[in-house]
Amino acid sequence: MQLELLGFTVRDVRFGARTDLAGGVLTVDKDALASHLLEDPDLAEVRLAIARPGDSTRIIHILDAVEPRLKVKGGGDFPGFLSTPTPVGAGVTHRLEGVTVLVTGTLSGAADSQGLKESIVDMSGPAARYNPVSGNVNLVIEVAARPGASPVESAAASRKAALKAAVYLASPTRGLTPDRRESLALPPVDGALPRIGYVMPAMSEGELHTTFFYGRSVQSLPALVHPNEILDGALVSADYWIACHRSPTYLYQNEPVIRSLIARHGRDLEFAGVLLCRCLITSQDEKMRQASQTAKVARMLGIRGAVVTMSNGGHAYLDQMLICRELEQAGVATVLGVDEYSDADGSDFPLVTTVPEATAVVSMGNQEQIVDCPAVDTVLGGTAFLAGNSYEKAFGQAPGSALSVALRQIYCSTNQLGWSTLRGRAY
Amino acid sequence: MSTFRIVHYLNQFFGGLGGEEKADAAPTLRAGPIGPGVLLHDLCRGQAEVAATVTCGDNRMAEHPAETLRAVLDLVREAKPDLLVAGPAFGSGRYGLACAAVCSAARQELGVPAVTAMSPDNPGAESRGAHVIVAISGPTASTMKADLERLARLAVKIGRREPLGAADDEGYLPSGRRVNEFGTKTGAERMVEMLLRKVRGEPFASEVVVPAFEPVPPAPPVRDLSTATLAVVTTSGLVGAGNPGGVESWRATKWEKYDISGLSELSPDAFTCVHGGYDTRHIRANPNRAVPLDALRASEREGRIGRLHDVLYTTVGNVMPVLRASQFGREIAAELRSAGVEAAIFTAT
Amino acid sequence: MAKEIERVGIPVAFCTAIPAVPLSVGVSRIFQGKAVTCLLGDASLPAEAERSLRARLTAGALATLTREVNEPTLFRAD
Repeated sequence: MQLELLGFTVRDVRFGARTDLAGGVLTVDKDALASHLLEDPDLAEVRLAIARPGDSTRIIHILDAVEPRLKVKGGGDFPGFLSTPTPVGAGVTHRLEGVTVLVTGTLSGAADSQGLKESIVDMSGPAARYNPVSGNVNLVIEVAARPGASPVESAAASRKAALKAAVYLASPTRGLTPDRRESLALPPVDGALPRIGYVMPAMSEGELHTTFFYGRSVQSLPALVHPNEILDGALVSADYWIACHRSPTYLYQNEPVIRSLIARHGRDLEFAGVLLCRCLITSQDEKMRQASQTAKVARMLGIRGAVVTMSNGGHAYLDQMLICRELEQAGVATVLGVDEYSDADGSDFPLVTTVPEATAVVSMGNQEQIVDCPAVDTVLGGTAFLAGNSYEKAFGQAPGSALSVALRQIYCSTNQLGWSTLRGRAY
Repeated sequence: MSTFRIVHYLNQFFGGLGGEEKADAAPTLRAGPIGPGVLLHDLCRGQAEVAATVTCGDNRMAEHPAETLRAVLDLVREAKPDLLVAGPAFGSGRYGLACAAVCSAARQELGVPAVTAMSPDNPGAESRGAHVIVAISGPTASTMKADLERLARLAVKIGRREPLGAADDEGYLPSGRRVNEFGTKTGAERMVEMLLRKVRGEPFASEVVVPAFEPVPPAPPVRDLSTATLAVVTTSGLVGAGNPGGVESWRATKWEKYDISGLSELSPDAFTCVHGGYDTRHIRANPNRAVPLDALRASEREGRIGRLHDVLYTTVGNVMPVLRASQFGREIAAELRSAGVEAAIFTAT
Repeated sequence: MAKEIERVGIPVAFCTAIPAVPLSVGVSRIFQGKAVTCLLGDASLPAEAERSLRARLTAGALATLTREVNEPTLFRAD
């Protein structure tokens, strides 16, 4: 499986009369894009805005981030949503580098465990470096679903809008010469290199909070996935829980562990593939079955070592730890990616649960560290913080005011896929 | 800042008094550096001086800890330290425990900052008090020079009140505090690099060290349930309707008590569930699914249990910090004890 | 929390849908509940059937309190 990923650098995005890409400037016909998105009868309203690096802008209620992509050859765009669920990861794909679509909204009717947590991106100031999109030009799409839509229907409408917008923005690249070409494949390598796998439990808690693989929620039996599939749009995020943990579609399209393993394939290791499974399984038996099946498949694939990430928090740690234990007991070396619950002063034990086999752990940082966000001129995405976060005292304030909040509220800040250089260290 | 004064604590051997035969030696104070203190003094390069040395036999400290520590502390105070340095104790258990005890006492009772050095598996490393920095040393004096260099560097920083960097960078044992930092490599790169080292059998340093949990011996069983008083404790997030106490849906900061005397079951009109970590619809529809009061009352009526305690203890267990959970547990345990409760049903989700 | 109650000598029947957590932490008497979202019940059953299921689960949990254990032990309803 070979993927030609052709990159088009975008330095700025502007609204204009006609959508096109010239000289690194993406011009977007705002009305045309809005009416394209509003063809979906489940959407009542969309508002478009642009947020640039360094702007005094705060974006709230973020539901997902997507990199603009256009599948040119060998499959369709975002299979399972905008095209049939046939495999991607081969052929030719165009990407806009330096742009993200940020879709925001409140998911009407969402409450309790089917709720939505606040998530914040600051485009400048000390909090900006904690999120993965403040260095990009962001097209912010605030959506409102039709009245009466359930939270699940609202989320689906927002997702479709984000994916359609991503394809719309990348469409002007058709026929243009790319700035960068990458050829992604896993050719045969020297047999002496260690075979390494990537065990990727993606979050799925129910109908609302989940991760889609070709349009269906990820399952608790490990699926062997070619890394190119994930980089090419096979995984789409629907995680509206704790902001710091979120793995948006953007981070799947640029999955950092996969990128790191592909870069070393043939040099330091042989990348055997991704074992995609599930986090936040609610039944004990199913948790155990997934862990033991993952270890079995890893053994059958001849894997000697595996990176094991996770998504979300709470008992998702247990899914990861059980996988770690089963893999280690099957003779497969593991490294775990976690984030920490070490309390605001860093004094508490960082992890929710552990197993003695977890001897190699990489920390993406303590989500409870307080970060200061200065007042901003512009707030996009909504007009008030979500009421469901009442435990966060700062959220009683106007969203544009100066805030002191835990990293927990900052989009993807301690995400366990490891996109950032943030780390928790022992002092 | 001018030169600051170090008082150095040594055992009988490194203090030049003698070997095991002098292990009972009483605490003594001498001016200037002795033994390893001479090199320590030089390594401080004029930023600090080893002004005095307190020496004491290891056995004396081990066998008469309270009075010996008192005597050592008096001598330390007399020498007017800005900083106390103890050891290095290397792998020696008695010496390590003495260094840790002297440092903790200097910190707590004299308000003097303190630093020691020993190998990580020295029992003294476990027993050190809060705010005592333990530099890592080798297990024997064969690494004396490198160990003293590390100790001197830390001593100068601590004496000058400069903030210390991360434990790995500075070469001290982690104090339990976690600090976020930006580095040069992404988490993904660090994971892959650590994995390659692990697979190749090369040394690697985990960024979080997983401890063994302290075991609690199982409580003895109840001999006769039919006469016993039972209490119910739950972390399922069950609270009174409207959540009058404002228990948080995760990382709860409080636990609550509800009087359940006279209730034959938990009605959805009187109780709800505010746990933020799972779909609570089934529990809100019938709270007995989280706290089986209906079934427990039946057991009480049928005489299978003695009686049910009048108070229900409840909180939200959703990602509660470990230390807070222990504290809540201790508080509730104390109430149960004083109420004469003999056994508990604990429902968690 | 449960360990602190045991520490003062009061035996605890720890009912949970996910025993791996208390097993790893070292809780002594662990009783397997039904599901995270419905610990001691089953919302798909008719009311009477669910009530008798809960009676059975509760009796199972109570029974663990009379059992001698030396290490974290998982019990299930008979």
